[in-house]
Amino acid sequence: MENVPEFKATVEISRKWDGNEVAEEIVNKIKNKNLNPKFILLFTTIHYKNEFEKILTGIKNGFQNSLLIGSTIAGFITSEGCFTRGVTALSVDYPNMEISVGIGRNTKKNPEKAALDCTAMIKDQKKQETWKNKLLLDIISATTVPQMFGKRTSVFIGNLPTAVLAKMLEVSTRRFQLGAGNIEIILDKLVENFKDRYIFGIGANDNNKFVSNYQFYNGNVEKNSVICLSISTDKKLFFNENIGGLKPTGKTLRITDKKLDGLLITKINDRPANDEFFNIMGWDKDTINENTLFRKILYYPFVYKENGALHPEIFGLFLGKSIACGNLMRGDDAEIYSSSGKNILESFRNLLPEKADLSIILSCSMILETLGREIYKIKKTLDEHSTCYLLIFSGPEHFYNPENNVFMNRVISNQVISFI
Amino acid sequence: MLHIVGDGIRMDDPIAKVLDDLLKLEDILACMVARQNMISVMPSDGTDSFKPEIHQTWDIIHRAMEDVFKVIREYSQAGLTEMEFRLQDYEALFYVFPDTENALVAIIPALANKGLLEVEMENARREILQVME
Repeated sequence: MENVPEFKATVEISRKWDGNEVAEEIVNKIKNKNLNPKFILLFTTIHYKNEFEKILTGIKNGFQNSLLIGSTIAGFITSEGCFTRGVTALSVDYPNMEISVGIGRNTKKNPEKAALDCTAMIKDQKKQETWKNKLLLDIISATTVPQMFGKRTSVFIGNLPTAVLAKMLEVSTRRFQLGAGNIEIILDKLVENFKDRYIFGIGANDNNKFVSNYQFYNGNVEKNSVICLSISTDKKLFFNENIGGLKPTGKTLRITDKKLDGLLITKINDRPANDEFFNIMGWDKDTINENTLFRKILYYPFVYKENGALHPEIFGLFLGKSIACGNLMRGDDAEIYSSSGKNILESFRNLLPEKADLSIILSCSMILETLGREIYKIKKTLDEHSTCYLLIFSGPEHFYNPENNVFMNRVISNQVISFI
Repeated sequence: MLHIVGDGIRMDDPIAKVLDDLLKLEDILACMVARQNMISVMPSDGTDSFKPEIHQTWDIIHRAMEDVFKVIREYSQAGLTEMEFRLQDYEALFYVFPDTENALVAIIPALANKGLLEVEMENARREILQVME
């Protein structure tokens, strides 16, 4: 009888504050499970930004032959609990798995080059892939609040022409690398080059303040980068996704003019976008400033259809008469949807397979903000499944499904990849 | 350092340490375990460890807390688990310990990203409950 190799995976956490202690705790926990990891995915909340180097060095010293990649995120759920402050590491040890890794830098300045650099690195390492089930896990630096007139702000109400504001947004993004994540542009290239596999990833962010985010690549701390882990394996892969319990309200709108490849929406229903959005929502413009914006818009995503799937977005940037989401708008006919805690919780009910060796769930950090401590109810649902799991709250979240050629980068959604 | 609770039970550092951890979060301006007319447990450095911006408003917030604790005292046995109020630029969150009149209290900026803070408040509440058992 053929020896079936054992798939070993473990998800460990640390709640220590000191980087050396975090690394020591995580290394010891992984070693206690008798794993010699092929790769380690490391995620930390932004509270550890002065400890990254200690954490990465410590873990790398503990597992010198293991690939180590990761990023900052808003929060996570494991079997040990729910956390918006801490460090988590997912390790996989399985002989019937080949991996290769790539990185591209300056994603905000030159997203196409970043994607192609990353792709080239992976293709250079890939020999003939033995196994037929393939996956590309990716982490891309997400949108950050841009710099306008020397100040970082997401609300700039003024009388400057749209063309001037659009140029300032472009300069902030391309020169200072503060602004749009350009994730769609990167994903376009990844999908073009890796059409034979699932693509599954997140925008790395912080604690929903969108000030800064970091990525980790083999012991180094990076910013504004795309990191991809290519996996081929004999383990079956299960993929599922949904929009996080959103329901339509009947309030529709048509985007009639866009700039910067769809990043900036200048007209809705042939009227200035800002004015028309407030009109549709029935809001007083004086109530919106950079402190109140997040609390207002969070519960009113708008959704459009893309490649036959639903694509939610939320407006996060008000610039003069224009508005922006942080991601590129690739659809024009949209509807305002609403979210409720009950519907969001329900969306996790049938997300995972009944049984798996490992499930990685990516969920939007807006869901975390909406539910607050009720995310313990998500944990209860996940615990009912027979699987080692890690749920990451970050965003935006994106996937490419080779079975139906659907590719999506969006917010307020959930997606899972499981190794069966 | 030992903290005396009104009914004479001495509570150890572990709870103060939980509060110290919570205070390390940028948007937690102040936190304590309290009940009506009494702050049961403070962080290790007491009010000195509260963020400076809260000191000006602390007195009035503290007085408002007392009125909230009247409600908690009335309804905690009926299953009241959470209260909150907003005063000026701040919110006070109360997470009640089951079947007691004590609550974990935190003061945060009124427009903070509350969802993420709630998760760590809940974790602090669970840790404190474990210490109390």
